[in-house]
Formats: sequence, structure tokens, C-alpha cells
Amino acid sequence: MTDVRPHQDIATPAGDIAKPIKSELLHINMGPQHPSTHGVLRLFITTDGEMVTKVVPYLGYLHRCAEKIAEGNTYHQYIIYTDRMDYLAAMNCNWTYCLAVENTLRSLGVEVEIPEYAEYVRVIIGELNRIASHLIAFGTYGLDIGAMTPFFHALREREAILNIFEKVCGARLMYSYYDVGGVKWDIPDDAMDEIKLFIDLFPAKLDEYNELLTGNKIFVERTANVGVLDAATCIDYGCTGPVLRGSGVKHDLRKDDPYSIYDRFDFDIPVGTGTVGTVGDCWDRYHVRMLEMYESWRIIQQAVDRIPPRGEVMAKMPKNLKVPPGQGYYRAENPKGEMGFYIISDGGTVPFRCKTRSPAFHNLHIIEHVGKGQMISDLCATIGSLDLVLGEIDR
Amino acid sequence: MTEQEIYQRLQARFDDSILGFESDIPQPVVSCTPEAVGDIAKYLRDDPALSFDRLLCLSGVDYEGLDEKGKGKHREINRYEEDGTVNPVEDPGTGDLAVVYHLESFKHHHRLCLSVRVPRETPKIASVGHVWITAQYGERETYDFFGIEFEGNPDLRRLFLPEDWVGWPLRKDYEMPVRYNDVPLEGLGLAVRDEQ
Repeated sequence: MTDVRPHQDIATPAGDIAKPIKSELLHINMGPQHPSTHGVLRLFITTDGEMVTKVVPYLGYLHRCAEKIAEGNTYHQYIIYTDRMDYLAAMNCNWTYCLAVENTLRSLGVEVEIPEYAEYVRVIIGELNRIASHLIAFGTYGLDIGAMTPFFHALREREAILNIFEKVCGARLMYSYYDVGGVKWDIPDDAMDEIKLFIDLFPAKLDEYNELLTGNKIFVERTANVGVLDAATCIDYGCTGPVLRGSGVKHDLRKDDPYSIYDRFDFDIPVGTGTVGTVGDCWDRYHVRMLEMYESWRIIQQAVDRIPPRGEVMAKMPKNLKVPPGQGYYRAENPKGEMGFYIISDGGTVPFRCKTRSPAFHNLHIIEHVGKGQMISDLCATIGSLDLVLGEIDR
Repeated sequence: MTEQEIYQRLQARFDDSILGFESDIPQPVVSCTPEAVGDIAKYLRDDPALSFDRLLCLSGVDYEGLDEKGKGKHREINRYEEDGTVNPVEDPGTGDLAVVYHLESFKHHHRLCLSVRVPRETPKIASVGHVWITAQYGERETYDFFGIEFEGNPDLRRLFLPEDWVGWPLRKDYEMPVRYNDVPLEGLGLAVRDEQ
């Protein structure tokens, strides 16, 4: 597979010195089993020495035909497959899908009145999962760069969130907790107490993370001015979420196209400012996630304060859900970016077509652009900063 | 700008290439011819009054089994015997394929859904990969699952499936192969499902 160039005979030792050292292009498979590719991403890279000249991602190692399965299962049955998309933020994937089905129903004239209490539960659980997802991003990013300790700290707090989820719905990774019309179960009392305890303890942990990694000199050296993405390129490549915000674009669907009850909460959208380097470098993307954890914490705090007294958690939905003929594309802000479902219904109980717009799929594409001209070690840092989840890319 | 105004603007500029406008649904759809989609996309992005700088979602759709009103009609599915042999449906389908673009503008905060139908026998459409780079992957995905050829896409290969895979899986008349590279696929219980 190597690039074969015409070999030139060197006549004299003096001529040997006069000629510049020639290096050959080398093709390397990075992945599918590579610790810094976060799953089964395979990058086919062309290198000139230590410099990367071309990156071509090969996908499909985790392809599970989700869109084909959608066409053979009822709207309710497909919820569990959305868990398997972004498995680090399964609650948010459930939520987006349920939101899409509800909005499709509403737009076609079917009344779906989600109880207010259920909306608060959705926000609390969804934001907790956003924190859990960003904790993994933070911890594994430290691992990519070579810092082992933050990972253990991040997983310790994630464990606390998973324990809450276990009390809420019985599962620790694949929840299927959200349902079309609300959520499946109420939050039990002891889980609510744990959420309150988590709110009390979490800001101190955030400070701890910042002390550990954010200002760390080696970490800043490795990430500042590396993998710089300008806003126009990000938009062109369809990037969303922390990747887009890291490049300084203030875009968050929770504010710009509010869904659920997000318009009732007071929170900011952090964007990259180029504090230690250039706007849109790896450090900015990392830091946006750290700040977003704090904003999520603020939302949870407000939601727990204002949650109405216990009530119904499910709207009155027919058992055999039929969606009238029609179509719609509906989206929500997931930890990785904008996730959307394009649903076409033929009037039956099964979607005619259910296309997923997954954020990491679009965020991955930009690696072809940003990978060019980087060192291999910087490429690892860039991949980590994009926070890819292959379950969502391959679907 | 509302979808109605965008439609009128497009019609004034492209005339015959704009085929129709479905306005009585919540997310109105503009449809156009497959040859003109490249120019229309460029116009949608570059016109200052429209400036659709984001392609949110590029989807392929197989309309086989959907009548004009969007209602599902009875469609037969392939039957699988116990030993894995396929009894394919007698009528393989005549419905159109389609590519649907969901666009949004950061500047004006308006959205548009552009739908392009292509004939099933010769599914060819102009690529928009040079307008929105993100479309290059979406087009590869759509090619992978529907076999729609995007003319002008610089790297039109299968994206998720192996390159030697046969068939276009998300078409409604797709037949699951019995073997792939000498690996038997029968007996896995795939696609054995009661008709509703």
C-alpha cells in the first residue's frame, strides 16, 4: 500500500549529502481497536513521517440497522433501540425520539398533553444524563492526553448518577425510561433525596476537575492551539453541540428552539473564547463541556426547587399508538449536539420511515478536514475533543 | 421568511424546475427536479435573503407502499421459509425514491424541507456536496441504503455496509441475501414477521 516513488541512484557520497532526506508516505490503519478512538472507529491515515496528510474514516463496525428495524417495530417498541444509539446519553436519545413522535402526533392533530410533573422529571433526568455523558468525555479525554487520574474522579461521580438512574428505572445503561407521552415511572423518594445530595456535592467536584486537568500545564500544552476549527467550517460540516459552541457560535436548541420546559429555566450557553489559545481549539471544546456541566447543574437545581407536587407521569395515550399519515423532522439538544428524527407515517402503528440525524456522525466528518497537517498525537487529541460515540454514528 | 415566500422566490428564479409545494402540512415541503437540485441548493445558500447555511438532515425515502395521500397501502413482504429460502413478492415495487433535505438558516432562523423524487429504475440526482460539505456523508449513507447515485459526489462509496454487499437494504422491496461471503445468514430469524 506504500507510495512507490521512482528510486534515484546516488552516485557519490557527496551527492548523498546534497540531496534532502526523502521520506515515503506511509498508510496506517488507526483502529478499529485503538484506545483513543473511543469504540470501533477506524481511521485510514496517510502519514509523512509524524505528520498526517490525509484522514479517511471507515464506518460501520457497529452498524445495527436501526433504521430498518424502525420500519418493522411499533413506535413504542423502537424506544429501546434509541437507547443503543448514544449509549452514554441513552436518556437523551429516548427523550429526543419520544419528543419527535409526540410532536408528529401533535402536528397531525392528535392531542398529547404531557403532565407538568412529567416534564420536570424529564428535565431533571435528562440533564443528569448530560452531566454523566460530559463526565465520560472529560475523563476519557484526560486518558487520551495521558492523564490517568481525572478518569477515576469522573467515573466516581458518574457512578452516583447511574445509581440514581438505577433507583429511578432499574437500569444502569439502557434505560428506556422515557415514553411517548411522559416517563414510565415516577422518581422514588430515595432517588429524589440522592439527586438533592448530588446537587449539593457536585460544584465542589467541578472545582476538583478544574484543578486536576483544566489548568494543568501539560494538558494546556497538548490541547491549546491544536485542532482549531473556525465557525464557518463547523457550520459547513454540520457540526453541532460543544464542537460548534467551542468555535464561538452561541447555538443551543434549548434556547434557540426551546422544547419541553427549557424556557422556564435560567441558564447560559457557554462558548469557546480562546482563553489559552485560539477560539475553536481542543481546549475550548473541552472547556465548553466543563462549563455545560455547571449549567446543567443549575437547571437541575431549579427544576428540583420548582417541581410540582407528585402527580401523573404519563399522558393518556392509546395502547396501540397509531400516527396519522404525515411527516415531520423534530430535534433536541443532546450532549453531543443536535439529534433529530425524521418520521414519515403511513397511518399505521409502525413508522414508514424513521431517519436519525445523529450529531456525532456530522461531528466526525470534520476530522477529514482538521486531521490534515496534524501530528499523529495531535490527531488523538482532536478525536478526543470531538467526543465521538460510535453507537450513534453507525446506528 | 415563511415557506410560502421561499417557495415563491424559488419559483420566480427556477420556474419549471420547482415541481410543487405542499403547504397544508405543519412542515411544508418544496419539491423540485433531481437535475436542478445542485443549482437550487447553491441559490438557497448564497442568496442573502435566504442564506440557508445549514443542512440539518439528508434522508433517503422509498415511497413504495405509500399512496398519493400519504396513506399506507397493503404491501407484501418477502416470506422466508424454515430453511432460509426466500419467497420474494411478485410485484417488486414501482414507487419513487426520494431524497429529503432539511435546511436551516442561522441568520434568518427559517427552515425549509426540500424533497426530490427520483425514478426507481434510474435513481440519479445531482450532488449538493459542494454546497454543504456535510452532504457528502449524507449522500454516501443514502447511496449505501437506497442505491441513489449522486452525480458529482467526489467519493461515492458505501459508508456503513461492506463494499461487496449486494442490494439496497432500506428499499421496501429489499431481499435479505441468504449468504454473505460464504457466511450463512439464514436461520437468524431476520425479517420473519407477521404481516400487520
